Amino acid sequence: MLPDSYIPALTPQLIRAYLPLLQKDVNFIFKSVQGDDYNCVSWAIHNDEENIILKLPDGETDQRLKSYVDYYKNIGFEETGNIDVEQGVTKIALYAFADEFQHVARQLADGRWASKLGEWEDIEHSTLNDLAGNFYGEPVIFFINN
Amino acid sequence: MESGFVAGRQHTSGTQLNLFALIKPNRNRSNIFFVTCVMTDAQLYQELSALPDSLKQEVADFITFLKQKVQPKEPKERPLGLAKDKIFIKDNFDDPIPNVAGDLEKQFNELATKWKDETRLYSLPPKKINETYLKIIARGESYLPFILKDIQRGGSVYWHFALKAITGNNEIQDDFSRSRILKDAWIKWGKDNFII
Repeated sequence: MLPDSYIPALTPQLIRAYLPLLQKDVNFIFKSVQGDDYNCVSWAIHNDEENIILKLPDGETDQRLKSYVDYYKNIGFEETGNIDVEQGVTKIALYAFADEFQHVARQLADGRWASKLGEWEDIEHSTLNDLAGNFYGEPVIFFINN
Repeated sequence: MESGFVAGRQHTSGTQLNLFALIKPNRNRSNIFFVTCVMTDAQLYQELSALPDSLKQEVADFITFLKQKVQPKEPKERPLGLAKDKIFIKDNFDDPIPNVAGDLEKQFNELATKWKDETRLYSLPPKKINETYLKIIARGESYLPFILKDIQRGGSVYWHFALKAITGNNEIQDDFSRSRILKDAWIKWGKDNFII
């Protein structure tokens, strides 16, 4: 729970510069303080205790979309084309540029979306399109976890 | 006694002489004897008379040398203005001395803020390394205390790559899963090495 006096580190100027569509969402709200204790990959599965970063066999960071698809499949998610709200399930959306993974958002019970924005705060936003653009690319694959 | 050179200093009108007698002509320092004697002018003359002609000539030469030595030198007139246009005072002479350390930290903070703004939206480590980040690394050890202090204040775990590059310390693993552990490892390293 954020204190009322909390001033977001992700400023309106930065939102305008990097996530211009989010600026137009009058209903987006900050839900946490900024930090690097967890990232969007872990926050998509309600994990706020670690950064989940996939690695290649040589130890380098794996940024391939396919690897993140496999990761979520391995922990029980299935690909879906339906992003309508369904009670009792978790739905997530993976953003990418071509084959490069960029971000993942989790659907909330009311149909809005939860996103941890890198090392900035995590937020709730109205649509997947709010984060689309030159920074995170587009939401390209959707998963459901029953 | 063989003698090759005689030197001395006259103190009072020839009545007291400190004599250095160099016994051998090779002027080996170990062969210098220091003789202090007080003689009257008559005794001096008597001693001089007893010297062989070759030594008398040396004494004569030495007296000539002494006369030259005690002659007062006329002071040379020093020309004025030789250093003209070579020494000058800068316009900012009276300005406060610049705070070098403060300026350095200010430069770091500006670059660090720029880097943070440019990359903090990313979730994966490779995207954190951009041009601004490389500029920070290029400043090397001068930025080391500021980076470590930033981590102490809760700054980014992704300073890890810069710290590795600057310090050459590869003992701290690239494990970002628990950022607190990685940050604590660098803070401990900084303290152990008296940087923070």
